[in-house]
Amino acid sequence: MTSLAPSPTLRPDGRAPSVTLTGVSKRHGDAATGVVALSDISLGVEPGEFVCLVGASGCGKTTLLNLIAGLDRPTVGSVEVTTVGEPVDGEATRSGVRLTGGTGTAMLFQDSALFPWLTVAANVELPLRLRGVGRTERRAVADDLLERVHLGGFGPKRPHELSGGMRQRAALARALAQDAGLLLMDEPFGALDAITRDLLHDELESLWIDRGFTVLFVTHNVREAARLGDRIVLLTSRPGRVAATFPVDLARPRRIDSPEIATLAATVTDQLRSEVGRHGR
Amino acid sequence: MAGEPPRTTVDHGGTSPAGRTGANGVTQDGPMGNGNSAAPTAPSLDQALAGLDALDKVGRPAQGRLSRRLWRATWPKLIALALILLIWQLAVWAHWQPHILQTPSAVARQLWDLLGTSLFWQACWATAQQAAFGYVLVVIVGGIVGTSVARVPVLRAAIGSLITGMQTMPSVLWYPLGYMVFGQNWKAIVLMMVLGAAPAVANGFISGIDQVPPGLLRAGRILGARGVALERHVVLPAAFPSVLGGLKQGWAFAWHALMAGEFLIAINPLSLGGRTVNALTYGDYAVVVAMMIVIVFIGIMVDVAFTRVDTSVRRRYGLLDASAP
Repeated sequence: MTSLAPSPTLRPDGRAPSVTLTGVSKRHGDAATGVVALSDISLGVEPGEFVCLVGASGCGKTTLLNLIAGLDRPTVGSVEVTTVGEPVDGEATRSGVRLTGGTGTAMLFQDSALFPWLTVAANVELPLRLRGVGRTERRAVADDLLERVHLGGFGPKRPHELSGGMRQRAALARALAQDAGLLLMDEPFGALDAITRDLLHDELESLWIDRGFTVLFVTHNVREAARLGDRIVLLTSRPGRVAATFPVDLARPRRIDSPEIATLAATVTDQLRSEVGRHGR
Repeated sequence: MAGEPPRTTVDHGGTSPAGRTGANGVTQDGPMGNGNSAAPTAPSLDQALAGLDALDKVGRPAQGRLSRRLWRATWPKLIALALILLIWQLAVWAHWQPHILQTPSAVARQLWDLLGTSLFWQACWATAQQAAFGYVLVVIVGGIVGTSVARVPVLRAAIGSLITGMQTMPSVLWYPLGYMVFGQNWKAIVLMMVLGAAPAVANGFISGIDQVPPGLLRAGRILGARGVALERHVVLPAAFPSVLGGLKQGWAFAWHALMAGEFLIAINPLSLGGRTVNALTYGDYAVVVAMMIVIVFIGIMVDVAFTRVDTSVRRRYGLLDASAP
């Protein structure tokens, strides 16, 4: 594997948490008839690290993200999301967006999951509203965030009036409004065309560098993982296990069509295929 | 038609790595360009996204002038009305039931006179009050029962199918019960309205809550909405189109029950139903027909209002085909 330059120094700003999974297993249903979705997964994510999880169908990726988000509990093992520093109210990030003491985990879904009854701006404001942030401040933060994802002026629109790529950017703005240190992404660009996806890779990378959160990014797309991640974690299917880990020592900004990424993607794809192939026998 | 929103491009003060798409200079003039540029330099991320957004923009097809649309919606109704009047007039000319059937013009004159009397407006007011009181009660009872049944599995197992069954029962069947409990009283009519219409409202709530997309619930929880906040900000708004359908159907059933009650119980000679029954008793058939027309007209108007709200909600939620009227 070619290595052009070391990956950029991580700049955890004290709010980006580390994620530690220790021997995590998850079974849906009871012991006799249940389905084991995840089996003995141990995985550590550094504060501010961008980790891509790659796996075929049935690797339990949604279950894994639900566990980390705290929506579900593991059957065995432990999930820890640890923030070293405490969030500081009113602290300004480099993008000029004021922090409002948000904590927890943000998540992005394949189908933006924007609420159709709210305007785009109201969607972005919702997490702030749920935290009790006042109307004026909410509006200002939402405006800033929409500008940041290049959707300035689209605030009064309804989600269904936007294209798929614009919806994902709006969802990204809403996730950023949570001001969470951890961003979980569940195949967020899987339903987009290649041109849009490419641009959103740039957008996401720039936001990540800008705000320094920790990212766990699930995808079927190996090239996408190589384009974005500091590290690629390959998961097996049925049950989901960690099969291999690939560091991505490529300088940023990267291009998805660069030969280094193609080489790395080929290596990962080979291993992915051999993992998938075991199920055919 | 909504205009195109202003599109602003933002400078991130140079600290952000935005704008390095294709920094290597290897580009083609192509899909990412702003249309007319054949320049060999790649556009910035801002430009590329703005161009893509512009290409993705789908406008609603032009709907034509308002007068045209109104005319297109109106003329079939006018023709239908004219046909009805013609058949009516033909029946009169054919001496079908000559002592009862009045000409359309006689009824029209009667209707016109009726509209000039304060008694008529008192009747409308009396019926409207009863309708409003009964319907509010229908919505409250239906809403509470519907949300409880949707939320409590035991309750659903106990009375879920009963509610669906009750929906198919004509409200007149509740008349004996109302009569026995309240006697010849307006409360009996309210009972008929509630028992006849609340199941429809409850069903609207149940199916609405059942059909909340799980992805939206998950998103709501992630965004920090738990408990009451989740219901308030996610479940109820997501269920709203279906709830609205239930409210509309509930109104239709409540109106049926109210009219049946006013005709059957006739304790209030000042109500629309009571006036009609009185006119019938005195053999004043033109007034009977005029009152029927008024009652049908009110029913249609409320239905039109509900449909308009329904359409605008569906449009806002993106549940409506963009080309739909």
